[in-house]
Amino acid sequence: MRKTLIFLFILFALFISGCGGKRELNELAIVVGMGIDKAEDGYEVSLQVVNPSEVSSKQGNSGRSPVVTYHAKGKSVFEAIRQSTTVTPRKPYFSHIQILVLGEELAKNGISESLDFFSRDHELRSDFYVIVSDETTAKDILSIYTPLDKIPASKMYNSLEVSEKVWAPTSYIHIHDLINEISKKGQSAVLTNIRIDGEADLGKERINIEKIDPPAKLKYSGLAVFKQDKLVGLLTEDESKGYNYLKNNINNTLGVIACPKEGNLSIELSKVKTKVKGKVKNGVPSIHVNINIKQNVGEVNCSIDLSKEETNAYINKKTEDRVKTIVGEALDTIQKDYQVDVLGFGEVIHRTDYKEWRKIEDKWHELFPYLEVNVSVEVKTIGSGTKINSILH
Amino acid sequence: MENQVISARQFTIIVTFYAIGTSFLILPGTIVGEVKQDAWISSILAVLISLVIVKIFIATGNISSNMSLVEINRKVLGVWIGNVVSLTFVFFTFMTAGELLYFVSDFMNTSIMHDMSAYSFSILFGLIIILGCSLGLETFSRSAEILFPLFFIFFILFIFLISPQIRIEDIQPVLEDGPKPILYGVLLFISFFSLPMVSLLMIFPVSLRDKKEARKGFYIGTIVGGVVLIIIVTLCILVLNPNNTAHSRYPGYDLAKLITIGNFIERIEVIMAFMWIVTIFFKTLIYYYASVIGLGQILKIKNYRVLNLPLGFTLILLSYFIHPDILHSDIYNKGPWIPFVATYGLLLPLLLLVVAKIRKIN
Repeated sequence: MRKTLIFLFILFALFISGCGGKRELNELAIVVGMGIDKAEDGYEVSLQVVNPSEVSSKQGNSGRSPVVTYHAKGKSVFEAIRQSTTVTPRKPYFSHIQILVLGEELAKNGISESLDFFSRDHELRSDFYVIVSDETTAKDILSIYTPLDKIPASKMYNSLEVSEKVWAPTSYIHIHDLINEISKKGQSAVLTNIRIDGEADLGKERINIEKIDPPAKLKYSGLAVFKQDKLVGLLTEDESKGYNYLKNNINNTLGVIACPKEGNLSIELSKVKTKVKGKVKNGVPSIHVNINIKQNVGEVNCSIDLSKEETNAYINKKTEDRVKTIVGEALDTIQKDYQVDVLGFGEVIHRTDYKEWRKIEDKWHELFPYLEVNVSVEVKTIGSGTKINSILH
Repeated sequence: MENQVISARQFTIIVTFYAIGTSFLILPGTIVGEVKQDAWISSILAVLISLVIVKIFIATGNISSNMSLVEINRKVLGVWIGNVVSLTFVFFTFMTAGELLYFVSDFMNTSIMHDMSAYSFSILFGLIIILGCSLGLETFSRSAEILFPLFFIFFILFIFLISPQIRIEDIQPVLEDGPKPILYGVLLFISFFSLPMVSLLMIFPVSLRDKKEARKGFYIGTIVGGVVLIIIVTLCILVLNPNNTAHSRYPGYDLAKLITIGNFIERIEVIMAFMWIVTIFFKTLIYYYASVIGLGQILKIKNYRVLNLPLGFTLILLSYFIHPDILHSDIYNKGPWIPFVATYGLLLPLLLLVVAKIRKIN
């Protein structure tokens, strides 16, 4: 009896597990990049799907494209995706998305309606980055051939990560942080801009990966400012950098400063730490930003004696001034021109003094342009590369 | 009825798993939804209060240390009233076992294998529960002992891997909405965490070898389980931030999805699912085991295993019918569940203690 029972159990298990819900690799269309554009009535979704046999290094030479981008329209993002199965040979699989490109038109009209799908669907993970296209559509961005990286989506993913690490005017954001930011009252978000540099039409041809100097490149060009969920404008490269200083987003960046007489010095800012503190006094909020910088001398193009203490002090002072200017300009644009709190200052005040915040919460958007922001910068020079003074000068 | 006995250490582990059980993946979302960034305060308070509740359970068990709750009911409240109360108690444990089975199948269905019907998970998981119950208390206690180190290695690993993403400022401002929501959070936490432990009275202290050690084990298990839950709730606030946690159905799972170390330790959220399945397995099993031996004792059946198969298959069906949809489950767990569990987790033990005192049963 007992043995029969166990046997029956095992038999049952055979029938109800095993291949149920299986999805084999050759049945999947692995989506690596996704774009959403505004269509006349709803959305147009672009799916960049990998062609696995072309990407593999052993047999990838048959002349086919390594990725295929499919388009479909629908009233909602999900409908458009399901619609896309009429053109894709297999069912799209979303767990490996690396980048989500939002079209400029869509961004101007508000992005929040299109984002819910990305946090709700079980197949999607939250580890991809969200960017916004500049002067073009997401559809076009996902149609450009990229040399070196066969998969354009992973090119975009990698160069966003690298440029944030060593150059600074870009900022990556995951979908869950983005949704959190635009859903908070009075807070807004920024997304990195991507544009096609060069001739977009040639970029869609194979010629783009055959030339040493590709006619079209995908380039990150700074940050786009959102008011709640609507795109209101762009920050220039320097302003984007200033924004990142204020958000403590800078790992490593470069600054060029003038020497006392002529020529210039390139300084590598290797450790940047920003602390933002808020306080409310007599109902007037103010913000204090402290930026702590450790820097290295990276390139010397003038005669300057780096072995002296005074030179050190001079370089420190110059960097301090420069960072202050950059941050000041960014603040000016954000506060006066766009008047949106992308810096999360409201949240800082909320955290430090929630009682006062309650009183000013509703008129925050009026207060923000006139908010007093004190910036203090501390700079320390810790090295000068492998040389002391430049031999050439 | 044969008498199975387990050691105090095995009991401690069972209490720990039982305490973590359902709450591990679900609780952070529910509690953060109500209390926002202060949920960690609620959690700590709730664990402290739970120790008092455990004290009540131990006192109830001590009314007669070689009897299960059902037998104590009969002894203290008399044969008729006692049996009626026991029947409703068995109904409670059985319903809850079915509900936990529903949780497992819903989680597997919505988060991991969307293309499979939720029913197939109920059947598979239900069969293991039936098997566990038929093998008996001693066997599944030993398997808990085996899985315990694995669970804790994964848990500690999990804390380490997620810690780089902690943003401490998400916990501010503290006490923004005053103490009222915190109290509701405490209530929610207790209703998931310590009140359900009443079904452990079916094995405590009757099936324990060393009853004095087991009392200590009851406290230790509660504290360890409580600390695990406090850590999970706090991590959800600090990493996912309160807003995302509140809107997530399974925040613990979402948390694990975020782990990425050096581009090669990533996509390990299924480990989190494994940890949860292990804990909820023992919780469901105890509920079910309590129903089976409880019913056996009410009906005075010598071998409880006779009831195992019929009740087991009913349980699998029950998991299909208990909640028509996920919304029903959400509303039920935030509302009717609290008085339901409090009736057995708080009122019944107190009633037994008072009546036993009046009737001078000791």
